[in-house]
Amino acid sequence: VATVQHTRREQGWEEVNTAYPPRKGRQIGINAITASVALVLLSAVVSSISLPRVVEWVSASRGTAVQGEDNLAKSLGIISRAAVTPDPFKETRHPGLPRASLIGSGPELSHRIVMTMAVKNYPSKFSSLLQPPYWRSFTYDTYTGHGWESGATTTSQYQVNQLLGPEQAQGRILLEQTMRPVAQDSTYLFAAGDPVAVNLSSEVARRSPDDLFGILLGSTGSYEARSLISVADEQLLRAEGYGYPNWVRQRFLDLPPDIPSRVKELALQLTASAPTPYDRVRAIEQYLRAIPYTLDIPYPPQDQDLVDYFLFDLRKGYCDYYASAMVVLSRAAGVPARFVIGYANGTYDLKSERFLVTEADAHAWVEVYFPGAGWVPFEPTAGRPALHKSTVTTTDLNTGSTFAEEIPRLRNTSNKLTGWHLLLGILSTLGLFGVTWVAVDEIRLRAQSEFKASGEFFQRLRRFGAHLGAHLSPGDTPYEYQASLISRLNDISRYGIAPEAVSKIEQDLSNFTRRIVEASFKPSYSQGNPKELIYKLWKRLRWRLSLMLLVKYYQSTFGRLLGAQFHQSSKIIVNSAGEDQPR
Amino acid sequence: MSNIEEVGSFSITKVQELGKIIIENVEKVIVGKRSTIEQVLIALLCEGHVLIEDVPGTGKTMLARAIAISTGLEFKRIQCTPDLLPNDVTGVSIYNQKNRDFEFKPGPVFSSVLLADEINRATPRTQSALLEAMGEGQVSIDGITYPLANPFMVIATQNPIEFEGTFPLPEAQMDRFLLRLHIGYPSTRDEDRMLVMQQVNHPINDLDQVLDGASISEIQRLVRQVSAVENIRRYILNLVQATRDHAGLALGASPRGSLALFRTAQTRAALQGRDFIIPDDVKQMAVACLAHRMMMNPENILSGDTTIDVVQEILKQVEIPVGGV
Repeated sequence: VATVQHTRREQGWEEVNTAYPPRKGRQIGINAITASVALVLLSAVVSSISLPRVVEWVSASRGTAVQGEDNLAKSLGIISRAAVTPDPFKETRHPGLPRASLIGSGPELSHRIVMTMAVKNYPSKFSSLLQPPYWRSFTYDTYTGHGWESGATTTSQYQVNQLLGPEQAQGRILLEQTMRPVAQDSTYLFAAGDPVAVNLSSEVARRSPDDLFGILLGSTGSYEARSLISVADEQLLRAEGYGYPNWVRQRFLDLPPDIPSRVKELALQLTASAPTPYDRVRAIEQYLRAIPYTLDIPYPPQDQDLVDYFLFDLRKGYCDYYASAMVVLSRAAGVPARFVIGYANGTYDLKSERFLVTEADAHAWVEVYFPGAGWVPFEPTAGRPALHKSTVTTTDLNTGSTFAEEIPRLRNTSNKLTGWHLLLGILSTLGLFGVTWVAVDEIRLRAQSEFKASGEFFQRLRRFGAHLGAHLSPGDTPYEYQASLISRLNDISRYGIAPEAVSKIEQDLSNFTRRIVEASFKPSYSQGNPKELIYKLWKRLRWRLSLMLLVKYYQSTFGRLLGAQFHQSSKIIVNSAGEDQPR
Repeated sequence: MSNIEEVGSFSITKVQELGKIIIENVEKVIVGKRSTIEQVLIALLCEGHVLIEDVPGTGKTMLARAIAISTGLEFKRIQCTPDLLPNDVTGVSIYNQKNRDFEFKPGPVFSSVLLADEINRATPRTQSALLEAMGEGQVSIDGITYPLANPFMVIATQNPIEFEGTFPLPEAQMDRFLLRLHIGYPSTRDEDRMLVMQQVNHPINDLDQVLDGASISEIQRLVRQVSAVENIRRYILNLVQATRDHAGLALGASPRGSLALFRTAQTRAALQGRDFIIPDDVKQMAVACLAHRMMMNPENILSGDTTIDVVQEILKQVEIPVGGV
């Protein structure tokens, strides 16, 4: 593009008779090519497909090494347990129930906007997504009989855009959301579904490697997060079996021993006719959604199980009660579930294209585990729109490709590039670039008439000549040019490569020049001339002239290295070196 | 292959062949001046006239004579002096007492190859009479028009060294010459060969005729059919335009100059056995065709540059349109 621009400018100059340096064009061409190669490299480094594999492999090997060292150190007692640091998650670990902020009458729950959430490509990309996203902050596994708490967690540092590593599962799609705080300075990460990456460094609390408790951001303010949300349809969820992994079975089927038997009985009664886990939780959810919703309830008695109290005595309540009851009932029915809190979707503002989340949207709901689909949210709270399971088949969402496209990109940026990656990227890009260039060039040349192409060929030949140092002037005819190029080639090969290389070039060149001249100046040329030949000649010439160029640079480098006074001897060295040149 | 219809018994390859024979024949007399011989032949085939500008003794007369003998054309010579009158050139009507009528005695201009030696010594009046004959192809004497021979070519010479007692040709009359040539000294080797050749006898006396005048006319018609694609025409026009735009020149080449360049390039292509012009033909003929039609700026004359240098510079600068670029 740059050279085309330059040529145009040159024509402009010529029209107004401005003097300009004739070699400027080449310089600009070289600059442009350098710039574009740099650009291509940059883009390759950012989104090359081959890179993530390498990165993955390297990080995997590095990861195991670090882990191994860690375990070894622990077993040898070299590293004592980490010094006790103030736990930043402390206040969220035992939130208790009911939460103070939710107590009181409806109007007291302010409709002040807490934050806004923008979802990339929403709603166009998620048009078949029936359920609005819920912004989750924490998940809880342990039911105490009076509330919820989280089991022991390990906290790890999280680098910007590192991959948090939830596994892709059926019916999950990647959601990119941008959170802007409005009236809160919370440092909890709110994200729809399972977070994959966030652009702030933070602390991640996990109960086990696959069991995220919550994320504490390193700073307040807005962030961008990517997460996987489940859009699995009924059909898919019904097909799920009971093959729960260990960490799920141990934690999310657990109930306190003193849970009242009537709760268990209710669970069994509700789910008796349900053939699949999905149908069971669906039945429980339906049952709970029939219980009236109110915020105006008395404080629960200390001596009674909370869920028992809600289900049999109170028969009304708010989200925390509904969610607790559903988790307990599900677990009693043998389906792993957990209690999660955060904000409901809020209202979608079409104008600003964001979800406006108010304090009143603070919410607690249920996630049920399915072996194939991962954690799927359910909404037992009456008065809230149910989280419909899409009847659209999940495959329509084309989730696989979304994930396949986006995750590697994340993986790629989440790891620092080593020199090898860079080199690999550079080489492959250069190779690709070169191949594409040659292919496109040839297609373009072949599309032209030989008359038109001959001009281009002549220009290229001249450029070769200029690089080889042939004595040229703009007014050279093709034959004159040929003569000066050949004399220059003879000059170059005088000390170096065998003369037959030059005589081969000479032969091709004279054929080539004759064809250029005839194509350009002979009126009846096009008839009976196989067009193929000129391209063949050009390819051969290009190859041989490039080799001559190599020889020339080789010689000049040697000449300079050895200095003027050793000129004679340098010729001998060049001579022996030159003979090794491939022809 | 050839898009040229054959004229008479001639084709392009035949032209090349004959041209070669003529040149080789002339070379028996003029040693080592092949390109000059070729250019004179080109002028002859283009029906043009030649001005040879050089010091005495370089073989100008021999060249003209050898060409004339080789092609079988009638050769005449005028030695121009200040007292040469127009009638001495064109001819004169004399009263014949026997049949009581004026009788026309044709002058040397009624020949096919006319050598006008040292043309700048003749008076402007005589010069213009000669140049009129060159331009019109006919002469008018006492109201009667006499057509000149066909082919008719004037080879004029002038000595660039002497200025005293000369009448330099005006620009308008220089323009009437198709080509201006310089013969130059031969190389030492060629001069030695010349000495050997002329030891006993001048080779011109043994020169044979290799072509007849009728064939020349046919070749003249044939070479006009040599084709020039648009790129070539553009190149010629670019060259001529460059002379008009050149800062060192007071006067650039005339349209007659572009036509001359076109015609001579055609002929040169034919002599090379080609039925189309290539840029090399144009470049080869440019100096001889254009340099004498231009005038240097007075301030540039002092720098020693001649119009020949300017044309050569322009030839190096003006790019050749090759292909579609």
